[in-house]
Amino acid sequence: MRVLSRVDRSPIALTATGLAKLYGGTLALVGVDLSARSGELVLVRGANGSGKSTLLRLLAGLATPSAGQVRLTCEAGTRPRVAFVGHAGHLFADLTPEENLTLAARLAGADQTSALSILDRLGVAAAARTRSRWLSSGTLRRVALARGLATDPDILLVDEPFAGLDAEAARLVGGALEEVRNDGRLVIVASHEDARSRASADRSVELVAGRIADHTAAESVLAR
Amino acid sequence: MTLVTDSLILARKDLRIELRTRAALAGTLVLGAAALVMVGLAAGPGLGRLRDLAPSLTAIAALFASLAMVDRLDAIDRQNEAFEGLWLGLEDRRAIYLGKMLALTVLQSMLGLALWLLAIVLLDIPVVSGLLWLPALVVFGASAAAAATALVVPLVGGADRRTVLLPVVMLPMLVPTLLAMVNGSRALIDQDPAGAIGWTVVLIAETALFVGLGLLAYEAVATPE
Repeated sequence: MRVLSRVDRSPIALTATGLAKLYGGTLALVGVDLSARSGELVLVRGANGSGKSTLLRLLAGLATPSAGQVRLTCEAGTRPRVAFVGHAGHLFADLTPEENLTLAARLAGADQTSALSILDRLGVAAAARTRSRWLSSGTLRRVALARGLATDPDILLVDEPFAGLDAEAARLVGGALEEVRNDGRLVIVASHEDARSRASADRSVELVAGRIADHTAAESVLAR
Repeated sequence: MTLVTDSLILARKDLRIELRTRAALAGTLVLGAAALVMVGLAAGPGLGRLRDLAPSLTAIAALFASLAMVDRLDAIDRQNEAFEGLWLGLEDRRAIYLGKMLALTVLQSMLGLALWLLAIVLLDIPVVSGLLWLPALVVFGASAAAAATALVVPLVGGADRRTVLLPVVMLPMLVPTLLAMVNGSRALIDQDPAGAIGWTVVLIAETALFVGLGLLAYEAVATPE
């Protein structure tokens, strides 16, 4: 079973140049350049506080850079759909996962009927009709990812997708992210869990104190 | 069309959550009723005097209860940063403003009608034929207040002292609505339907003005940071 059904996609390119973000007097990100395109899974590595979440928020357009810019271009000339799955999950606590997914899909103009199958694919279909506020944190993380996928995004940005997940749940999430990439979408994952994330990434970027310290192709790419 | 459809979807989401939790309406109804009784007690025992004050008492009780309602309804989107999910997913983000305004209008209308019912019973207001216009006055009063509030809330959304800032910023904007509500309901009690209709038209004009402002400015004031 596929995570998402849409296959005909226009290629997307994401280019970030000279990104910087200042919170009060603290520099969270300095001079970050990043380019990525459809069909890639890019891993942003780094310790806690290294600027991973800030970078993802800037790429999603949920924060304004203090310097630099983010450019998203779509060959079809349309605005690419961006989904961001952050720590908070963006779920309405008093709606069920099924209602959350259907709402997100409807507002994004995506197919609403696939909501349940996405939950099933991520192993959380049993919780589909339970109010989100009563779900465990591990289940919530997967429902949050499912919510992002339900919007049928061209670009999927996921912050710490494996945090708080057991081995089986992490396997399902990792598999889903790879499928989304294989479906021709751009996936950018921020994580400090190196081994698990690196296994499926095409390349990785390491952030140290808000700066890019390393930019390498991952083992999976080298192996191909 | 997307704007209207998405607004209705979002309003329905808020109302569904409210129906499920009753967090906004139950609490604010008790608050409004308490305000009505307390201010009535402070005004003194004369029933005639209380009847004279009924439009003001009810409007003020509804206003304070509405402030609490706005905060609770806004909390739906603040929880789990659900607002950001909406912001990214919507083609026309003004739907968030219109949806919130519609949901607030429905809930504040219910609150206003309940408070007026209470006022009619407690203050022994004679139920005259003119009071049949009351629901229209309450609904358009609620829509004017909701249209202003839905625009102000994102302005103070991220502030540390939002519970203090919200009424301070909102009250001046709501003065014209409050005056129209008080004068319109007084005209109804005085059996002056033409006066009540006139004040209802003022409330409709206020609604149109605030909705216009909201549609123009919402995206700029609500951009997440």
